[in-house]
Amino acid sequence: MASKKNGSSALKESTDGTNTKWSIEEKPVKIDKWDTAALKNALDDGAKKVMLDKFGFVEKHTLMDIRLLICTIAVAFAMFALIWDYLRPFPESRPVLITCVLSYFLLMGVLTLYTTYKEKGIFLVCLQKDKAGIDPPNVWSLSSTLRKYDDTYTLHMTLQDGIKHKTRSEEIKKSVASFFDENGTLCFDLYEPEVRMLQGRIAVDKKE
Amino acid sequence: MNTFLSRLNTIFAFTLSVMAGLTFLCFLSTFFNDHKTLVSINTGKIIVKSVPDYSTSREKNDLGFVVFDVQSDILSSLIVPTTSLFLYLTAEYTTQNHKLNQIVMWDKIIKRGENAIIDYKSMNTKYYFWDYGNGLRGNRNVTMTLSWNVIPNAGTLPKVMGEGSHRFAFPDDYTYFDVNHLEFLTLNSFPDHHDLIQNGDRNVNSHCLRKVHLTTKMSPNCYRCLLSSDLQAYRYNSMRGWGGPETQEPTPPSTPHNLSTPHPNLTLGV
Amino acid sequence: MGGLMDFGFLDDVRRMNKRQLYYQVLNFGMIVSSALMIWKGLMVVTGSESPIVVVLSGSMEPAFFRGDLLFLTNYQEEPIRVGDIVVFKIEGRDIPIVHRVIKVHEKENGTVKFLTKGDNNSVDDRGLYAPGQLWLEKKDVVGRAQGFVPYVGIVTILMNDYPKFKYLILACLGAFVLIHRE
Repeated sequence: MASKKNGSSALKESTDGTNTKWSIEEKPVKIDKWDTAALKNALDDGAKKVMLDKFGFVEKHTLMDIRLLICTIAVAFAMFALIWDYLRPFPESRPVLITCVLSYFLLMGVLTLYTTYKEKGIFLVCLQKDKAGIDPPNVWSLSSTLRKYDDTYTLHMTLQDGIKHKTRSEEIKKSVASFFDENGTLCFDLYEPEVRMLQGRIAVDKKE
Repeated sequence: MNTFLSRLNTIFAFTLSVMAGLTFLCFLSTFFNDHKTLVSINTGKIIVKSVPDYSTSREKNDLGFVVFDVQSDILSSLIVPTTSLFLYLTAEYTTQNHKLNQIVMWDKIIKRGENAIIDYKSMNTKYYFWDYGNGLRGNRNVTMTLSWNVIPNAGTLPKVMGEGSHRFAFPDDYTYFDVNHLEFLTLNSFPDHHDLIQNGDRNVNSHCLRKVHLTTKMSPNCYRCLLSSDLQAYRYNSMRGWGGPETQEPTPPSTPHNLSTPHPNLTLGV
Repeated sequence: MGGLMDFGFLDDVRRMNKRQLYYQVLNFGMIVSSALMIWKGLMVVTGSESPIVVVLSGSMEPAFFRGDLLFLTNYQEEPIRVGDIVVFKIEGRDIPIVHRVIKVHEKENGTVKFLTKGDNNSVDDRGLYAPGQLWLEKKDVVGRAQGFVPYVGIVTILMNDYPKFKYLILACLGAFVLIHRE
């Protein structure tokens, strides 16, 4: 029930006898345990679930939206160049092509800079709304690293205070073996307390 | 690296990247080529005719016949890993109608491993020396150069011109027919192209005065046929009696041509 | 659909929210656009409408074999000279031909007429030209070969000879990009 209100919504429900659903929210996450990219994604998704579902924070999409915007503009330039060149064959379309190609690569450069310096591996930004609704919300951001063929997963959490605008961050480093079982299923009940503990540590620091 | 497929995939990707890297290095090395090579070219007998060119517009164009020598040692300047060389002998000249004309008279392909020392004497041109118009007669300044196109394993395809060119001039008058010349050639024994066709050589196109001449590659056969058309004209004119602007009084053969000693400039080259 | 969902490879997609799905589509779009922009960029830089061609016939052996890749440029200021390897198109046919120039006749005002011949052919190309066409002109030229890489174009020839293979490969690649999470 709680899953219906979140970002991950069920897209489709087929009405055949087997009652298969598109969304697999409730199923435990099972991945290939040797694939480091899949491991990182699974752990990130798990942390997201804890922060959003269990604590009730609200996800802020700005970071992702800017990236999507840059990509969309780049693809739009490319499509425009394609269509223009199709309508007016090559020698006449030269100036248009030059502008489109240059702006495409410029946007790619902007995107790379953005991902390296602004995003920095942050996969979740969420707001802790003040209970009274008066004070500005605290901003929590989560980022993680897991190197290729390495088993140490680092989860890095940052809290930016809404009122005082001070930032505090903490991180945990754990081997992925402590969260995944033999088959590659994520044991959420082992992972959740770790995330909660991390969040708790930061929240306690804040109170001091 | 847990499955056979992922290992295979990684090996494949690695092989591709290494090969790409090597190809790129090979490509870069083609930029460092020093190509100075001495070439020596010489010409022997040169005549020009005015003949209807059946492969183009059927108008009378100038057709040149050149006998040449060429010597060069090409490999001395090659550094790059080469697959083959395409040598070509160019004749360049200016005419009234066209500011620049270039004709390939002769070409040769040298593959890797073959001997790259060129030493040919008294060669006939491989391709017809047609002009686009009538600009060869009396043309004083025709420059011959030997160039070659280096085909590397991978990389740029530079054209290199050898150092050394030869200038010659075409005669001021057309040679309508040279009976001595003709007799010599017809009496030399080399295969009639009609024999070759009968023997199944499909590369030789049959042609005569009235059919379109398709091949540009000259061989003794074509030379002979063209000249034999002169012989027909000669006989025809001799039957008609001399006269008219298109015929010229021939020089009758004064001394019978001595057949045992071949004309020095007309020995067929290698 | 029920049977397909039992396979694990769609799980990643099913767990994605709208933004992530849009990002997957954009990812696919960006790969296609990058390839497209590189191609158009090459077109602009070299000045040729087809900067990379694959040799399709054996008429230029032993220099170029079927499947070799050629890099072309088409700078209008560079004059066409004998010995150049040109890629040209005959009017009415869209297969480009790679042959060597053997005769050039250039007028004062810059108009050029030239004749080509494949190295491995015994006759010149007049038989290939359009009926009534005796010479080639600059406008027929797609580009001049400046560099080449051997064998790489065999993939293109395979894809042209077996179009079903081409569609299969493209479909698989497309599906892979859409489904795989980075």
